Amino acid sequence: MIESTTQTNQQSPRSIALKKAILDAEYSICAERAVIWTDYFKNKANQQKPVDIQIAEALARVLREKSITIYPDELIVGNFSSKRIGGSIYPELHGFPVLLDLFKFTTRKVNPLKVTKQERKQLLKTMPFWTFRFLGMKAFKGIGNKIRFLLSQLKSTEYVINETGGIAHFAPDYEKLVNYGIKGILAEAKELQTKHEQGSEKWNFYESVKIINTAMIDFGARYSKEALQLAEKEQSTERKNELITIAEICKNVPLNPAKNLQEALQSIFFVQIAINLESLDNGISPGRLDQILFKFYEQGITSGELNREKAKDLLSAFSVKFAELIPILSKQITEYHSGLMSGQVICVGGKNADGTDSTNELSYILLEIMQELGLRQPNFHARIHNNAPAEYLDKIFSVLSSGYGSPALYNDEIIPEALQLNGYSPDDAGNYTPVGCVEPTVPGKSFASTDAALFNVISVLEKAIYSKSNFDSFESLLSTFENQLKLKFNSFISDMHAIEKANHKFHPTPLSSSFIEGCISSGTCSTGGGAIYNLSGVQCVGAADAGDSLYAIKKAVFDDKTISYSELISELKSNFKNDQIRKQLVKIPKFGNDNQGVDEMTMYVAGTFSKILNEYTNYRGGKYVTGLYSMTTHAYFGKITGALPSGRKKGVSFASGISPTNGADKSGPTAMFNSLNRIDYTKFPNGVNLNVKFNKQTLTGEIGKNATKALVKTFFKRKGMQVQINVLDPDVLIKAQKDPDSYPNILVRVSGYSAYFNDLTVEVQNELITRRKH
Amino acid sequence: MDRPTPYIFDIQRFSIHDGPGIRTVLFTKSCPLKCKWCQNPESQKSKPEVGFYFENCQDCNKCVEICPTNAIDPITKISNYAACIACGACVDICENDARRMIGQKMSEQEIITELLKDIDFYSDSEGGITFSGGEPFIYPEFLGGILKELKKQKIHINIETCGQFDFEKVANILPFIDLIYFDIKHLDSQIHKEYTVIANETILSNFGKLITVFENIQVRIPLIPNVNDDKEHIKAVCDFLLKKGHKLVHLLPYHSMGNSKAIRIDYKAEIFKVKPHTKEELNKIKSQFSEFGINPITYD
Ligand code: SF4
Ligand code: SF4
Repeated sequence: MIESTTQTNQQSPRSIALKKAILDAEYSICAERAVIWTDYFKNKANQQKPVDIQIAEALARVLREKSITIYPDELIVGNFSSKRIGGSIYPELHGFPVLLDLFKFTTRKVNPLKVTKQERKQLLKTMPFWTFRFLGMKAFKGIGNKIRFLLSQLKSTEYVINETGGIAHFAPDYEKLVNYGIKGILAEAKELQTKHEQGSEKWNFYESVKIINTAMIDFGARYSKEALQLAEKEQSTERKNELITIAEICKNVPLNPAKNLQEALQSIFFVQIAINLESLDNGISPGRLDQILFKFYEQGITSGELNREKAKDLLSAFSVKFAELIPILSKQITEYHSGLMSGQVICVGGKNADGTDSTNELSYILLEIMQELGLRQPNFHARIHNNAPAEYLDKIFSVLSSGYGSPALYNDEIIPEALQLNGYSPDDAGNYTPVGCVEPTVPGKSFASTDAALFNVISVLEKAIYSKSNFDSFESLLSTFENQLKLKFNSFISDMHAIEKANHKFHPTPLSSSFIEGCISSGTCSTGGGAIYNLSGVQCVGAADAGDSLYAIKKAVFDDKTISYSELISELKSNFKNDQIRKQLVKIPKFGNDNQGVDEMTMYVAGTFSKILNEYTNYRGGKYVTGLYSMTTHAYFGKITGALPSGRKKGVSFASGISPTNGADKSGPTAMFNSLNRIDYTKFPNGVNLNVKFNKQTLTGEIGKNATKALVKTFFKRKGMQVQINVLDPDVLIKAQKDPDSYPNILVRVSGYSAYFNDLTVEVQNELITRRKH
Repeated sequence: MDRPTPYIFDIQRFSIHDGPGIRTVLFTKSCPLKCKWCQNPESQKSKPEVGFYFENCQDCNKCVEICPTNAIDPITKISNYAACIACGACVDICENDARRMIGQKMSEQEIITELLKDIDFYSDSEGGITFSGGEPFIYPEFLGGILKELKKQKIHINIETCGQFDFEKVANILPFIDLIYFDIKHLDSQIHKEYTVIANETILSNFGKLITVFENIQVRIPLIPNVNDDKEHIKAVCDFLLKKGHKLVHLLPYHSMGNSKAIRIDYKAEIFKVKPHTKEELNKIKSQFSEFGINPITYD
């Protein structure tokens, strides 16, 4: 019998200890991968080998030579790097630019990282070798072109191509891994290889798959040996037994099919580490673990080998490990993606293919773990549908009220539909999991490069606005905008194409390919289009600002004629010398306030972007699709952009994802959701991000929790796509007091009724702030 | 239609503490009571008035210059209610968002459109629409017209009342109402008058009549330190309620917000200031209600 879902266990002492170790650890750079990789590629004999073999052998060497550590209290073992929390350098990918930052990592303001003197020296030594050999350099022919691209990416104003760091962002076929083991993959590759001539492209690919998967077995065996050695020295019998179990497990997996829950988790984690070491562009996501692992849980419970508490302890020990990985990004790239996000998604719940609900006991256990851990990673997500059990929703909202913003919520009533419209089969679409930040993909079948690039749509709008001194109609401005977009896409797509091709030619990913259906059967690497689904995702950044700006032009210049076009242009150029005009523009309705006219303008911008982009095919033979999330590029692009017709001044951050611009949603959450439901989300299969901020007090009480739940319910019933609920803490109220414009919507409870924080006098605000601290 | 219509003071969406679920609250201006501790002093008067947000004011004096009736004090920038004709000129000319017009005329259709915007949220949260004030029941014909339309959509309706209204007129619209929040301030008519400017007889008799014909009443008492929180008064309230067959009361602890809002419309506003109850005092008050047979409910 499976125990009841209402049971809430305390956080185990082990989970507490492991979490503490993570919270206490410094963020560091690990030189091991870079040093081993460089050493491999400097070797003249290796340089002669086919590229698939090179990558497989280099990664195999990393797995065999990197330091391994088993930390106290661990049940699931394996270390991404030599540091408790660390990240590797991939000199062949982000190479030169990141190495240039070597002296800045420790002191930089945003996301500082520790690097030891010795490792810095080791890394510096690798630099000369990679100067002209890293991917961004190899992708383009001719020195001029190389430099143009490099410069454009270093100070990017129009788009940021993440694929220069490799192509990833997928959910590996961990179901296959736990059910068949590496053994299964090796057998398949061996058999298929015999059909091809030795030295042929496909033969080489299969060879690389064999090399790297054999190394995976050895990787497990190293930990088995390490665990045994530790067990011998261990004083406590309890820990000794744990270590002996770990040793046995690491002998069995990832080689063989997993026999139980712990083996399944261990097997997954080994591959998780190795895939992350293969390529930089992370977002490697275990995905729907409650679905993949439930059979092991059930078996364990039935056989008596497992109980709920033990299962939770294992899953918790597993989840903690994801926080040990950070991406090492240069200062510049950190502006695009600050926060050290490695995008490893674990997702719970959702509909089954037949429309029934799929939540199980593991969904609930994982939700409890989200609440107990509250760490940056893994990125926990929950799928919701119209008939999701009330108990499941209740649990989700109590987890959310603890204030970590996890889980992010995904709507099964729209996402499968959006995926199907872009070529996914109904069954596959129904099995989606988000990866990275918010991008729906199909586990084990998509190599969707969801985070391929982020595109600053405002840069194109500006081109259109400044292209003429006047427009005879608003429509003619719109058609100029569309033409400019098409023009820009042409050069953008050709850059993308070059980079995707370079990935295939210079950085294939045989290990990743081993866990994506279609690659092994076709003998084609995932970077070459071997996967079943091969989309590339491009994010439209700045859609709300563009919509607000177009609407302001329409109103002020064309409808009401209160400002002339030339006046507008000169105000934009002078960053609003005339504050009166700016105020007038600011007063025109903005996206997020339930005003149909302006809401439709935002949809127009994003929809036009999606429509035009959708016409292009990528290097791997898949479609380009649009996403509406921005990482932190909305802040970066905003910083480098001049004044906009919306009344936004120079340098101010754009709106994040699909959220209204900061401070613009003055009419409260219901109005905001009404606006957001004017977006047709089927046009954005690459995922959207809506960040909604709530005051902690609103969400913690029973009344607030139910209201928030109802908001999401309505939003999702009307086919909203995704929402992330942020609970603000008291400190934020203090900030809100100092900078009220950025926090217009903090709803506070005064006495039997609610009021907006900004509408209160300082006196009452202070009272609320002090009250909240208790 | 020339039924008397109120000025609308505010329409607040996503209100979650004015009845069940997610609600939109329509605040009408004008109230027969003038409670010294009023939470919404800007809703008391029936005409529109200008609220002054002194923290935004840059002292440019443009408002003072433009005012056709010289209603604005050149020093304090507060508009004098008696002289102000609510023309809005000062609000329009202020570049610093320091003046806002409190109260606007809206057509019935405009109001209904606004109230229906969140209808999807009402149904998913089992919420609805709340009419507050001011005192909404002083406009029974206006309410009736709107409620009839809203009821076509089966929306849950709550009215917040101070109890001072014409019962015969209100009785006609009760079938459209699902819930009434009925405030009781003090049982002693003299004291009631002292703090709210009117006696309490009509209020208490309205309560008596209402409870016989309307089921879903929530009695609310704003607990004001040293005004209505003594044991003797608590007993009187409990006896009164029990006699009417009512066993539940919602207590609203006093909060000083009303005062700080009052100075936005009248800097000379009499400052009513008492120390809010402590948690312990509130607990004691609650236990006294229980002792006298009434179940007290508090928020927070
Ligand atoms: S116009 Fe506005 S800023 Fe100027 S004095 Fe009047 S209230 Fe103050
Ligand atoms: S609303 Fe008109 S009359 Fe009243 S204070 Fe302002 S300018 Fe004067």
